[in-house]
Amino acid sequence: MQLVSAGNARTYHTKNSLDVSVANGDDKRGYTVVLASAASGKMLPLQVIYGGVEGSLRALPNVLCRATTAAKGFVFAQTPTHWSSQGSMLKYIIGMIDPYVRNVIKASNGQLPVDQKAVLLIDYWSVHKSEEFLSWMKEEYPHLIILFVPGGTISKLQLADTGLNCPFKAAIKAAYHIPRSGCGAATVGPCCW
Amino acid sequence: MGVMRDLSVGWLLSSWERLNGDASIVKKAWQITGLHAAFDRQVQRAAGKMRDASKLWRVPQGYDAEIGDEDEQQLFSKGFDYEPDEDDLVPLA
Repeated sequence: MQLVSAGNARTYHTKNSLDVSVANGDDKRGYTVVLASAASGKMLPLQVIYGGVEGSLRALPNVLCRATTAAKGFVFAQTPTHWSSQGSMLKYIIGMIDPYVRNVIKASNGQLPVDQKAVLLIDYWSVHKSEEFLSWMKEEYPHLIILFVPGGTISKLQLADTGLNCPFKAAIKAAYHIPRSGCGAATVGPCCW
Repeated sequence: MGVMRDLSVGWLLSSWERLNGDASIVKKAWQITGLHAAFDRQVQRAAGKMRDASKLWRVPQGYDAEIGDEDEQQLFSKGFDYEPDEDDLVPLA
């Protein structure tokens, strides 16, 4: 038997039942996606943050999915709440931003010096402005100059909010409806099934 | 749940490829904010103008981006010769 929710958090079932199945009431599992773009028009690969204890592979997608996306530059992280944290941000710099800058320098074929500086424009978030993060950045990545999107102007000056999040979410919603048989193995690979 | 998690990676990947394959979307985002112009020349100067104009530019106390003349020269001497126009900056009001 499967109950239909009355639209609130209550239903009828045997008292003290540990698991009550409700139609359309499946568990949700949230995750965070970190978007970034370069002034050249390139969109950096995604950092996907899942909930769970660091190193708990059960909370992550299967190894084939991770391998497929890691080959494209995706970075996976885990935090207890699936939100970004100090730790996930450090991983993002190490695994995404720094490699990207190095690749740009390498691709310039000597036109850019190896210590070429770059601007990292980030929003005014508590982790970003923390002494711990800024000190670490200065020490580890002195060539990355941090600038902040002015507080209170996110809707106008933060790139992701103004022009990336919306088309990205629309693309994801459109992807929901692609028939599995039409996923295109070359694009999505093992994550299609 | 695991199946959905695996599927979600596929959706993320295909969505990212879709946006990444169309540079106009990303460039449009930069244009909307006016940062394309600011970055083409001097972010710090543009930021300073906005800070002076709006008093909204807040950075952590004691922290300065510390862009010196040499840094600026290195940052913007590689082919960027665009002189930013005030009109390129999005009004904050």
